[in-house]
Amino acid sequence: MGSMNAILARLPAGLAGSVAAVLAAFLVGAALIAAVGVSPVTAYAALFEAALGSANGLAETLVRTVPLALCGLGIALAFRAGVFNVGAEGQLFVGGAAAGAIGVAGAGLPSIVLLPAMALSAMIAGAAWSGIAAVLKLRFRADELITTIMLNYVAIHLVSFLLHGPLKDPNGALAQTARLTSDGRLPVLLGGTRLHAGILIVLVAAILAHLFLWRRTEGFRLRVVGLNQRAALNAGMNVRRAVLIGFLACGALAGLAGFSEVAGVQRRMIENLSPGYGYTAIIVALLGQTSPFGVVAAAFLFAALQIGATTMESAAGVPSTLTTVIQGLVVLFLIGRDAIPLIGDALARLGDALARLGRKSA
Amino acid sequence: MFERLKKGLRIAVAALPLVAGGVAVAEADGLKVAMVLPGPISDNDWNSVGYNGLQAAAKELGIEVAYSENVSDADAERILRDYASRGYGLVFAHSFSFGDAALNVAEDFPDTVFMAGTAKELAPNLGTYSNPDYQGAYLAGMLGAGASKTKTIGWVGGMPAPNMLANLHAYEAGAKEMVPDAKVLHTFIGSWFDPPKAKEAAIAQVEQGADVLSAQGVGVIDAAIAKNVFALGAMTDQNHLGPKVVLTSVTWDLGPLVTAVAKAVQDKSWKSENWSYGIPEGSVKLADFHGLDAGVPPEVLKAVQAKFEAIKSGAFTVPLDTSNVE
Repeated sequence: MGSMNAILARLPAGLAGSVAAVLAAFLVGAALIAAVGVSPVTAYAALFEAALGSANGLAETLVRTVPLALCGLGIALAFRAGVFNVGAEGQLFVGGAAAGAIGVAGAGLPSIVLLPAMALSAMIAGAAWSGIAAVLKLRFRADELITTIMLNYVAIHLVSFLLHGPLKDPNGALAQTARLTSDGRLPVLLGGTRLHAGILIVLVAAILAHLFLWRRTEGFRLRVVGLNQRAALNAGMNVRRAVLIGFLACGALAGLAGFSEVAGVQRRMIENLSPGYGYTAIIVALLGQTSPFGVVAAAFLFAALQIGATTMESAAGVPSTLTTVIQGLVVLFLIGRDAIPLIGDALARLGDALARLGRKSA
Repeated sequence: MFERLKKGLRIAVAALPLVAGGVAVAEADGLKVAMVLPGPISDNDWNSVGYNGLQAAAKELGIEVAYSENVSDADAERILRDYASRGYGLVFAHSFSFGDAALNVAEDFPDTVFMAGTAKELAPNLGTYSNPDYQGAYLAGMLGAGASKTKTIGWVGGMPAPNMLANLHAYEAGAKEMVPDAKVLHTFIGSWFDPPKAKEAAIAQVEQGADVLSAQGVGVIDAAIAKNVFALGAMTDQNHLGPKVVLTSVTWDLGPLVTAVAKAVQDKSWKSENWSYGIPEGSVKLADFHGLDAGVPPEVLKAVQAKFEAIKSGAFTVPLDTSNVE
């Protein structure tokens, strides 16, 4: 126990909070698994064996990490600027549609031209979509928490309309674009699996985000604006500019996530491209303490949880929705961790009171 | 650059199970069969048919089976891969929209047999099975037109996929055979599972005069109950969903097909082709009328029964038309 405390003490406070939140969520999850009559050890073993214990499992976990990490990085940058952008889901769809449209229109171009064009158009589309909320906030003071979440629905329906209409594969019955040619696909890194080059994009994006936040004046301004807008204003910083950067960076990265799903996984733009990556990424950004490398680590953890969940269900008989509960618990413990010292104090006071009571009666 | 990275990754990934103390995929001593379904297995419709077929084969052959329900198109490939990598020798992708995913996975798992429902493109280890319920739809069209007082009948389906188009065209052809000037309304709701939308579309058809509805999706029967018109169920006997309005249902029993495919995989005689089990094979039938046949002219019932026998014996072949409609 003592050594455990020593380890925790050496970690930065933020990381300790995240690790504690995850451990606590797993403990409560174990209790819930036991409640359905399954050994938590068996269930968790099945979960992590499926997610990490084979080449295919690990590849799938990394594939799932890509959209979660890219959206999470974008949301983290927005959070750093004090922008509560929860519109990554819609920005991902818009980005995916742009990438799909360019990929189909540019069929025949060499990969080295086509892929960057698709990625760039996806980032511009995502940033533009996020930019709507930015304008609404900066011009009309509309709360981005409301506008970004509403724009998600608009985006998903708009993309659905495009896929049923102008972008639809003329030779197919389903609402999706034509299949991308091999030049419009991200290369597979590990034969026989779906692991694609998107994971490298994640690493590059995380490094760039880190350098931006901690090595560039612009990044410094972004952080100051996020911490205290009034102080930033008094220091003569351009607050509106920092807020705008927060919005656009989030949109661009979420759009890039859409691109990587289209070019790396689905090989065309489809309806229901994302099962809520943009929403899960909000938790990922929080769990990663809005630090770029933390976000990537958190994305990997959540990806493993989601990939392992299906197998846990069929192998151990634990409903896969339980991992959704664990994900929710992580947030709860993360937000509620400030309450732990308070509870500790309250318990200590209660103990003192009881001790005094004991002395009196004695 | 990619080559080097690939090599490094391959080594790392190969070493990982050893480090983690993972176990190798257990060699199965018997065939394991999995099915991946797009919706809930309790839908009394397409997904129930798949699930029931799988369980029937499990019972018949004593093989191990597993299934995943409510799988989205975006996630289908991952789930198919998961089963293939866990040693399942036969995997059913039970949706028209999983064709792409099955094609991709089949390429990477040449020793696993895949069966994709109504797929367009096949591979040496990827076969398909059609949904010949269009044969039953012809009978439904005859019955519907014969039972209609307005000479107008409706049809509500999901997406204009080939099997749905075949169903619609056969329904129309059947209706025209029975009542040459019958009017057939149709709506594609653009989704495989959207009960409120299906209900809305069906109510709109009733308001245009339809008094018999073909329910090619969940929600139509609710509309038939609300508007008190006849509905023709699909896939399973759906009478319990509307005992007073569901005249009969065109049922599809996938059990014989799943069993035959599994057997063929077991004795290595399986071939990549289109497996079709319809009325002649005893897989597509009309369900019991549950007493509602009293509301249908007897000569109509007689004609439908005669047509069923003709299809079964091969004397009549229901035209297969998958051309697009407006």
